[in-house]
Amino acid sequence: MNKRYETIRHLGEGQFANVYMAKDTETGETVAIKKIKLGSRDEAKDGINRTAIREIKLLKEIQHENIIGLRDVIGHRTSIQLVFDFMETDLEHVVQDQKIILMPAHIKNITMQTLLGLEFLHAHWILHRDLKPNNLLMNTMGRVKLADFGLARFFGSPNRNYTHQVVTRWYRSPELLYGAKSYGVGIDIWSVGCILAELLLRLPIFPGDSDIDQLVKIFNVLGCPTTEDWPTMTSLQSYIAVKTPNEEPPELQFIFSAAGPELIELMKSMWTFDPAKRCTTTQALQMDYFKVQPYCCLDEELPHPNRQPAKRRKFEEKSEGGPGVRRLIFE
Amino acid sequence: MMINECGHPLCKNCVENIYARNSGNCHICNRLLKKNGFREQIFEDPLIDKETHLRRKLRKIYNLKNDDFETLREFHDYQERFETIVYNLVFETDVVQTNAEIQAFEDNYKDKIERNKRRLDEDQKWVEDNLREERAMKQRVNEGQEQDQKEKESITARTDTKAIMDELRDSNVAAEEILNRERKKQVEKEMEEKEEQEKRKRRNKEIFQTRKRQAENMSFTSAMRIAGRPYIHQNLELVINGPVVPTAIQINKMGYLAHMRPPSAGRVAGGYTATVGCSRALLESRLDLLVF
Repeated sequence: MNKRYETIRHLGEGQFANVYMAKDTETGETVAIKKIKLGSRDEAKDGINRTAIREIKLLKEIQHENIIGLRDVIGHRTSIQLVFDFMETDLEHVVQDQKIILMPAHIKNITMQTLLGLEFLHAHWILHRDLKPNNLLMNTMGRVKLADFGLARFFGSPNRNYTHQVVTRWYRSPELLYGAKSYGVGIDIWSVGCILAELLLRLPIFPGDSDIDQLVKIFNVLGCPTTEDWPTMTSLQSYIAVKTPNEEPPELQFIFSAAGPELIELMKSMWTFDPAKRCTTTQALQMDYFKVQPYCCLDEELPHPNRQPAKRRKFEEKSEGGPGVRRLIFE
Repeated sequence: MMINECGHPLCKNCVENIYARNSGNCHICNRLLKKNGFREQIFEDPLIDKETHLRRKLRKIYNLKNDDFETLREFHDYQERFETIVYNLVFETDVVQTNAEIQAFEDNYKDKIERNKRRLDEDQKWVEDNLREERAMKQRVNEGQEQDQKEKESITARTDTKAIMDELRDSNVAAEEILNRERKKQVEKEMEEKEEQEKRKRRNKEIFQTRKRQAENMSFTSAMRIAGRPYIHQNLELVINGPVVPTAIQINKMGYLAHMRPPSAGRVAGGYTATVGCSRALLESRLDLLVF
């Protein structure tokens, strides 16, 4: 691969890249190397993969303890290899591991780390656009880092159109589902809200199987947005009025029986329908949830999935998934 | 692009083709050029490239210094003349005459030119002096520190031997025992010193690394997270050398938005407001003012 890095083993394969675990012979640290696939001659003629370009371009600029560190980029002839911090697990594994008990202090810590990383991104005018448990990596020190910047890009440009086909559907915000052409930090915040709910429930909260079903799932929990909540929503490209189910939506408190009032308040503000009124990362971090007991735990106290068996199972699932699976696995 | 003395750029391949016989005519001005006269173009504007090249060449001949002239006036005239020559050559006016003048100058001042090749002018001297001074100071500081260290060591060593001698003479304990104990002490001390040195090394390395990281970091300070107490969030602050970026409230109130086109309802619905666009533009205008 490279003189500086010694490959230890293959970790996983995604649509665009192979991931290897490797040792940095200069510092002795373990790193993850993402080797971008070149694909067929036809694909290669357009130049290198767009997601790789985005990752390099954005990650080269930023350094934060809650954002995956791009240590090195190796360009050798036609191949491109990105060298990242090595992370043992991700939040998807944590959520799915039945043996793990997530205490309120753990959840607070994870939420805080996520928000801190995201605040840093947003301060640099970068949207992640693909937040989900799978992309929040965690190492044995309990440090949570945002990863996979393949969809990330700068935002806040007054007349540029952005695609609404971003974010994995279950974590997609209503304005994206309605086909908004310009959007802001709200879409990432919405995803964080969904992740937070998933940490509490240990199941995805809005597992829609189509875009319409996604909206229905959201409205079943939060009720339908009124023009009062979100005055401009009717001007969105693919706005459709969804019939309100007759019965009142259940209180969030009822769904999250273990959550305190401050946590409910945080989730409500992250799931405000009008993106202009939705809280920002900074506002979220200043909310009471982080000031009340139980206080957030130390990073090192976060639970870890029992790695070995979990990974095996995961691998088989992924390989059966065929070409549809494009996620990278950083175990 | 490649460029020759006439200042007309040509790409590398064409140079290889047209000047395959090592000489040929310029494709624009038809001047006879040699292949080995081609150089890589540095400046985008060929005229500027030509001028800097000419200056560098001419400075090898026109290298007289202030003290080569009797009066300051003469020196200034000489410099003025140099500029005229450069101008003439760049814009190709009176080339023959100018070249003759250069030739004459070179012949006239042959000795001085030769001597000045090895002589620095005042500015260069000043830089050299300062560098030397700095190096000397560093050395002095280091020497001073080493000396202090040595003195301290010799003092403790002396008192130690004295104490041991006294003890050997006065106490009733067997001499072997005392010596053994002292030897042990010495070994321990040496170990300690070694450890200390290693620690210092590690610390220096760490300092170096954090500095490096900070430099790479866009000078954001990350918020402190402390377990077991309420978390008070500090706003993320961007350290910039320029004027402070106004907050959203200030942007709304102080008329910044007069310069922004109001966004369509569809954009607002997605979460884009004029304030967002405005504050990004304001930050971007300060990006090169970031402290690194």
